[in-house]
Amino acid sequence: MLDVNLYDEEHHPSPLQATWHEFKQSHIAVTGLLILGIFVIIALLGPLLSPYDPSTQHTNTLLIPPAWDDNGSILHVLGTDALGRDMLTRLFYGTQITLFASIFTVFVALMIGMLLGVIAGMASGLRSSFVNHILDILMLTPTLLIAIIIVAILGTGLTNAMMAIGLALIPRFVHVTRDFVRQEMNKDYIKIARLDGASQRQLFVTNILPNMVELLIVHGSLAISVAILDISALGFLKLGTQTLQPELGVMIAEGLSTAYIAPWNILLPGLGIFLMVLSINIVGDGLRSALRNRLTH
Amino acid sequence: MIPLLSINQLTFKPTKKWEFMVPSTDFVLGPVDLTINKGESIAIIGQNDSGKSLLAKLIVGAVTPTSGQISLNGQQLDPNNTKARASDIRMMFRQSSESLNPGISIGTMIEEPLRLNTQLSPEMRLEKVLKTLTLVGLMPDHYYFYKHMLSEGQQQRVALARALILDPQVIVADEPFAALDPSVRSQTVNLLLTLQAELGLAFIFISHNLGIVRHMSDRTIVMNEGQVVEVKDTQAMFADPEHPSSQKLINAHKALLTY
Repeated sequence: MLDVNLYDEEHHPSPLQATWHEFKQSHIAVTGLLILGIFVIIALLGPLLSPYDPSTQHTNTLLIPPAWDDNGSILHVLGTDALGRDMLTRLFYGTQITLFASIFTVFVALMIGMLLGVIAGMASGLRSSFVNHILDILMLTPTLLIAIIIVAILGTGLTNAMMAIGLALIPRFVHVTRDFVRQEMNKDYIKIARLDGASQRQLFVTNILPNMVELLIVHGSLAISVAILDISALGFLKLGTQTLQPELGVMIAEGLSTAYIAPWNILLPGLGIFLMVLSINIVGDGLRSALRNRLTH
Repeated sequence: MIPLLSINQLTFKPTKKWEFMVPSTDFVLGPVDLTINKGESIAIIGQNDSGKSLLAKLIVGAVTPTSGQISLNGQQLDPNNTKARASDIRMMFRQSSESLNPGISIGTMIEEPLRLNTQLSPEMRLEKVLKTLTLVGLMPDHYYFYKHMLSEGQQQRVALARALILDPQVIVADEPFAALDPSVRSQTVNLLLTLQAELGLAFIFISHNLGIVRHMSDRTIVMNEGQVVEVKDTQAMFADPEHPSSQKLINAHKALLTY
């Protein structure tokens, strides 16, 4: 038998390694990844690190500013809110809820949307165009509006808000997957594979899916940033997460009443949301160009 | 003697779905009768839209014929069962940016027909793929390459490897040399001639390059408006074309040569 590695002096990177190599070329993308990594670590480990409970009210230390201020206390590094709850602890928990709820929502929506999109894309004729046009109507309305309507029907709460946002995101995924699959199905290499006797499922798994990763990552990351904004917007409007839970949007809404005396109460959660969305968009963008470049040079 | 491939009264009429929206065409292919022997190479020439590619697709089963039969070694082929003929009759599509999948490695791509059509174990498949890669003049290293790392000539070789991997009896190629530059083209022509001599393949190809047709093929088929208008040995065809459309093609070729 031929030994492949006998004269192999060159290293053949796997697709994943090649993508990482391309991704590293962009410093901005790496910075974005670092920031996102910090947020993920905060969300995972924050609750273990913080000394307080997010809902404990320290009644003798209301509205103290962050530690670097003259009136600040090192016991509450980022200050406390109007009910005396520790800001840092609440930010840890808030990041956890907002970030993981968004990622989970998008993941589920992506799976369902992709499945429907692939079915619609590989089918042909009336069935496929029916799915498409129904979804076009849904796509015309902004996600937040759909989410508000769904929340109005189902009632408020984080789970309902997640369901609403997930449902609002599905048509988008179905649409892009369907368009992509249809476009791929007409290409010569699919025709060749079909002549070889590949079933629809084999066609999809071996031939279409490897090319679809780029699309899924780009739309997935975009959708995560949309979901973060929507979940905190619903929280802010008191339609999503309820007051007891430390969600970033809810924290902004609560801080609003004391915005003049304690601006850090809205500034800090706002900054958290902003940095999360920014870093996710940067990472998604970096991944997109890395995946594209991987297959061009 | 039973011919390797015999085509009997093969016709194709495009079905019209939205008749009121598309101007109707009265294009009909065939009926085509043709027999091909083992180790023979046949060239199909003709003007654009004369049904050359369609005939190639009908032979490999990419398009279902309206009527007529194709038999391989005396066995009639089921027009709807592409899998049965996949290992004996292989198609090479026109070289284009879409003829190879950009997202999977060359090795996976060449292995796919083996995975779908044979019961070989993964090690045996790997061995077979590496052997085929060397056969078409690539290196075992190319197993790990992706489409964008290869030149067009190499991509053409990959397409050929994919066609050869199942040890077919017939290869049908749609303009296999069109996108290649002259030096790579002559390399590929020589490669094909060598492989044909070694493996005893029947080779059916479509070409606009009459020089290659004259060099490679044993017989030449001229098509015009869906009909096979002339079938002759290549030498006889080039010496004495009978049908007006073959005369036109061959005289144009000769006029270029005399300059």
